[in-house]
Amino acid sequence: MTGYLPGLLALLLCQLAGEAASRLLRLPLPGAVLGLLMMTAILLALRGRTPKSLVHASRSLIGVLSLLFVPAGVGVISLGKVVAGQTTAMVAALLASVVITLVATSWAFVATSRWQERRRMGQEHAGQEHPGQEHAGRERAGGGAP
Amino acid sequence: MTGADVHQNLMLLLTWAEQAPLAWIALTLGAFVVATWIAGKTGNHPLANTVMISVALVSATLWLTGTRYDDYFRGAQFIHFLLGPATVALAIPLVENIALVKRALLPIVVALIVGALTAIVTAVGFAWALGGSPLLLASLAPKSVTAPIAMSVGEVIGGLPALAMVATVSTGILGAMIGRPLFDAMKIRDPAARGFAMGLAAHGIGTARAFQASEVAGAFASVGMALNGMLTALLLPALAALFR
Repeated sequence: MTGYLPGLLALLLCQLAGEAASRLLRLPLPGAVLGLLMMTAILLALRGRTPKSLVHASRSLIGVLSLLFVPAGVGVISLGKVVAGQTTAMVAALLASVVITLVATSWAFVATSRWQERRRMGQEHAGQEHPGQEHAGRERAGGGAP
Repeated sequence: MTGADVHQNLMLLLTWAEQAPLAWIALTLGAFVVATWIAGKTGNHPLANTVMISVALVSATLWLTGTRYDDYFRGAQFIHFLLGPATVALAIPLVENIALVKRALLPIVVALIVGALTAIVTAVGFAWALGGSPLLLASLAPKSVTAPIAMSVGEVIGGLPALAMVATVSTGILGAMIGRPLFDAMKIRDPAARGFAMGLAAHGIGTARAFQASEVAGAFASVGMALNGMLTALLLPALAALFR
C-alpha cells in the first residue's frame, strides 16, 4: 500500500525547498506558498502527466482541508485578555469585510469576463460582411448584473 | 489495589494524557467527525460550518478539563502541520484546470487586485472606525489569506500571530457561511467567479466549501487563495510602512 506515499513525499519536498528558499533568499513569501509555485511549475512542465500517487495524496489532504484549521481556531480561547472589550469591533469588522470582499471580487470577475466576451464578439462581428443580429441572443445567460 | 492506588494511577494517567499528543489529536479528529455528522444532518447548510462546530467542541472540552491552549496545541500541532503540504497540494487541481484558468486570465487579474485591496482596506477601516487598537488593526489586516501566511505577515507588520490566526480562521468560517446565499442573491452563477471570490476572501476554508460545490469552483478557489496569499504577503508590509 505505497499508494499515496510518493505523492506525499513530493508535497513535503516541495514545501521543504520552499522553506529553504524563503530563508536563504529572505523572501517575504512563506515556504508553503513557494512550494505551491514550484509544484505548479513542475506539473506544468509534465504537461498533464501528473503521477497518480500525487493525485491521491492531494485529494486526501484537500478533502480534509477544513480539519487542518481547527487547532489554529481553538486559539480563540487563549485571546481573552488581548481582545478584551474589542470582541464586537473585531467580529463586526471581519463580517463586514468578508461580505464586501466577496461582493467586490465576484462582481469584478463577472464584469471583466462579460466585457471580454463582448469585445470578442465585437471582433467577430467586425470580421463578418453582415454584422447581423443573430449573435445578439448569445449574451451569456450567466445571470444579470448584481 | 486500594482506593488511594487507583486515585494515584488516575492522576498519572491524566498527567500523561495532558502531555502526550495522542489525546489532543484524537479530540480534534473526534470533534471534526461529530461536526461533519452534524453538518450532514442539516444537509450541509452553510450556517452549520464544520470548522466552527469543531472549534466550539474542542474549546468546550478544554474549558471543562481546565486545559491550557498551549498544552492542547503541543499535541494538535501535528494536524496543524499538514496545512503546509495541503497548501502545496493545491497545485494539483490548479494544473488540472489550467485551460479554464488561462481563458479567464484577465478576470482573474482584475478580481485579484480589486479583492486583495478590498479585503485589507475594509478590515482595517472598519476595525479602526469601531475603536480597535493598533495591535488589532495590524492583526486583522492579513485575515483573508491562508493561516500560515497571515501569521507571518501579521507579525511582520506589528500584529499578534495568535490574534491574526484567529481572525483568519473566523474570516474563513464567515466567508464559507455567507458565500453561497450571497452569490445567489447577487445572481452570480458562474462557478469560476464564485470559486475565485471564495478562495480570495476566505482562503482554505472557503476553498474547501467551493470544492463541495464543484471541481471547477474549487480549482478557481485554489487560484484565488494562492494569488491573494502572494499579493497580500508582498503588499501589506509596504502598505504598513506608509502608515508608520
